[in-house]
Amino acid sequence: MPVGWSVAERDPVGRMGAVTAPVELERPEAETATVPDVPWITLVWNDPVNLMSYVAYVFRSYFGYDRRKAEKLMMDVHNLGRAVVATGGREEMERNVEAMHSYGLWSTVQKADRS
Amino acid sequence: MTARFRRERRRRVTATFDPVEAALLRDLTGQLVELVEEGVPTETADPLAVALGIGPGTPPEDPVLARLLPDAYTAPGTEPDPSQVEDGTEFRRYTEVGLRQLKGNRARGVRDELAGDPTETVDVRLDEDRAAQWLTVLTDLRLALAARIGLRTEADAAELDAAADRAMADPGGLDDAAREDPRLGVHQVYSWLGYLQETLVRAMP
Repeated sequence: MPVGWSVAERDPVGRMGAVTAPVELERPEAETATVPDVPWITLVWNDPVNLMSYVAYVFRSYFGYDRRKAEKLMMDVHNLGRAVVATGGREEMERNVEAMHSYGLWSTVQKADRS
Repeated sequence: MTARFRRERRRRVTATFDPVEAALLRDLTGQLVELVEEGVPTETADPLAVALGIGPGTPPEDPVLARLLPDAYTAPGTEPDPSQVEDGTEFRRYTEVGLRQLKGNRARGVRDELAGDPTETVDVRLDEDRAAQWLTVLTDLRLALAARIGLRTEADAAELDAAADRAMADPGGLDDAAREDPRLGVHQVYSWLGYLQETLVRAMP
C-alpha cells in the first residue's frame, strides 16, 4: 500500500484543478497501533455523449497528466467502460468527482478495495 | 450548420456563427440556464444552509439534471447499498448547489457572448479561459439534448445514428423523417454541437 503519492501541477487552462503537493503519511509511532487508511479512488465511466478528444483534454487539463497518460486513461474508459483516474484520500477523490461533474464526465468515488 | 472553431495567433480561438446557428445557441444556453437554476433553494427553513450552498440531497427527477448532476457513490446502472445512498446524499447536499451555479453562470456567459442583432452573423474570439468554458457548456448542452431524446447508451447512439442516416437518404429528407420521429431534429443539433466541440478541442490554445 503506498504511503505517498503526487499529483502533477495544474494546467493554466484547468482552473478547476486542485493542486496537491506530494503527500507523505507519517509513519505511526511504534506504541500507537494505527489502522492504515484504505485508499479511495476516483473512477470515470464511459458514456455515449462525451467526445474521446474532450475526455483526454479533461484528464490533461484537470489532473495535469501528459498526453500519453491522458490518452491511455481515455481509451480505458472507452474500451473497458471505466478507468481509475486518481487514488488518494476520500476528500480529495470527492473533489475530483465534483470537478469531473463540472466537466460533464460521469464519475464516482469508492474505496480502492471495493469490487 | 457549418460553424467551426479555428486557432488564431496569440492563443485565441475563433468561430463565426450565422444567424441561425447563433439563435440556436442562444436559445439552448438560455434553456440550460433556466433548467439548472430552477429548484436551487432560495427560500427554506434553514437560511444558513442556503447561505452556505447546502442543498437537500435528493437526486433530481428530471433526466437532464440527473445526467448533469450524477450520483457520486453509485456506479452507473447499479443499485446502491444503503451506505452508498447515504454517502451520495451527503455529497449531493454539499456540491449540487455550487455545480448548478457554475453550470448556469457558464451557460449564461456563452449566451451573452452571442448577444447581438439576430439577423447578423456573430464572430466569437476566445482566450484560453473562455474557450475552456465554452467546452464545458457545449458538453452540458449535448448531455441535455441526449437526455431529452433518450440517448443513454452506446446502443441508443447507434440506433439514432442509423435512423438519421436513413432520413438523410430518403428523398423527403430530414423534415419528413422528423415529423415521424421528433428525436431526429434534436439529434441533428446534437450532432452539429458534437462537431463544433470537436473543432474547439482541436483548436484549444
